[in-house]
Amino acid sequence: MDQKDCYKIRIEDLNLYFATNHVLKGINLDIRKNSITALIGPSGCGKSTLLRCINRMNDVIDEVRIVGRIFLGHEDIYADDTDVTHLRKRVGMVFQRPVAFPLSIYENVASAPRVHGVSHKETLDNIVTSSLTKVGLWDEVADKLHKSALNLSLGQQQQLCVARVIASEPEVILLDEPCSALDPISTMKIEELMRQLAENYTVVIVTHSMQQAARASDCTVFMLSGEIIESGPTGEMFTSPRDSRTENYITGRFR
Amino acid sequence: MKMTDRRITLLFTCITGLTILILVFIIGFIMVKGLPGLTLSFLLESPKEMGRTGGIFPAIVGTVLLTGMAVVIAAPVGVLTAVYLTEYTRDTWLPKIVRFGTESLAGIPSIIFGLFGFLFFVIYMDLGWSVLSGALTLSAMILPTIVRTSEEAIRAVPDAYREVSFALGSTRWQTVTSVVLPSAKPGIMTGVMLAVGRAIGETAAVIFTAGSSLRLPGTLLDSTRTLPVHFYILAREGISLENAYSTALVLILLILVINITAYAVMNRLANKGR
Repeated sequence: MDQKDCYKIRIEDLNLYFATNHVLKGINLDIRKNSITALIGPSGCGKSTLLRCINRMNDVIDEVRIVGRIFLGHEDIYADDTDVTHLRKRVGMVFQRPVAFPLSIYENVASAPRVHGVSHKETLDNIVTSSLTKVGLWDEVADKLHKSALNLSLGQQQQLCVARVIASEPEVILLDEPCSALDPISTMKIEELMRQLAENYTVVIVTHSMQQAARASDCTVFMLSGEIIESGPTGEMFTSPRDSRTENYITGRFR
Repeated sequence: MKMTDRRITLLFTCITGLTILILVFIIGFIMVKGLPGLTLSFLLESPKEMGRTGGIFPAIVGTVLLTGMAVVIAAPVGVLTAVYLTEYTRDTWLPKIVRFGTESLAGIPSIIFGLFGFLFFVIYMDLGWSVLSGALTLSAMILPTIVRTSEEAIRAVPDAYREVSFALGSTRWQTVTSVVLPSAKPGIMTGVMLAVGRAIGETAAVIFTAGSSLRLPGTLLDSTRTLPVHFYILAREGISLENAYSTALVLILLILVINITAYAVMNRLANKGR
């Protein structure tokens, strides 16, 4: 694998404006394939906005203007001919609060492949089974697949959301503070799950918990006021940060 | 503080009790008056001597037919209008006008709809006094209710659902059909049931448009008589007060049956998780 191929996502000179606010300022970032990259920084630093650029979720908001390029593999996802539906199949997203649709567990997972045109019953059955197995939820829900997903605990619902994302066979999984609504044990489960996912997927996580970034990520990106201050391997960043602002933030002297 | 709390609780209990009492009294009164005449032959036979004797079978058929058709016409139109208003438009002048229009329409007395139906469907469209005229008029009458309640039900669907659905790659229409409408279904169903209740008990709009024929309608262009119209005529023209009460009782039972069935169906669907 040559140097270029070990990066899955390459962000080039990305600027995002919301009305007259300059929210993301000249972002350049390479994200490694099959690894976990954590975006950290204080509230309002633009880390979630940056994450949402990667699957173009900012498109639906009025008054947002984006300049710059993001490459997924070799394709510029902001090119004019990008099929957003297909992009979102390749780049899945898990949100802050677990959002299980008020449907059955089965239907929740099946909703993702259905969007992309899978309707064959057996194929769907297989996707649901394998997705739930991969997130470690299968044993708990196998006998109640057709019961409402809303009866699951929050942690289980978040696992279900990950299963739903996996079900459309993405290449990248974006997680936007996936544990902030969860208890410590569920958080641990999700972190273990991320570790497993990183074997097959490129994982990008936004987190406000520095411990989580330190525990669970391979690379860390520290952002402040819409700029990337520092990025690098998580171990190095937390032991010997190069920038004093990074050091202040990770030691808690910043806020 | 504790005393006040207790007094307020007592007050509310009394008020609630009063509400239930009124309801029980009305239904009980009609049951007592109507139950003696309620036999199987009353349900299954055609009326004789203008309804003095015989049964009310044609009126039951007319009621079910008219209400059913009205709902089948109005429900899809109403729900799709609500989808358009909530999912496909921003807050511009168009949805505001539509919303204002539906609100105003919902407040119009039914006899105005009757008059409109008579002039437009019966005379202008030359449909005559018929099942079709009646059903179209009723559908226009219940449309605002369906639009309003569906719109509220759809608005109550959390935006997070839409966001997740878009993030999965869904188009707006896929989001509507696979996430928004299933989530809003209980609310929409309640609205449709309200509309059914309004349509089934309607007298003024129906008497103007479907007429009051006592015969079983053979085609959609035949005149028919619904249960409320039937007991209105029985009571008004002094034909048979006993039969009027029995007819009223049948109407109440019919509404009850429809409601129970609808909620049973809804619960089964909900338990399936969809």
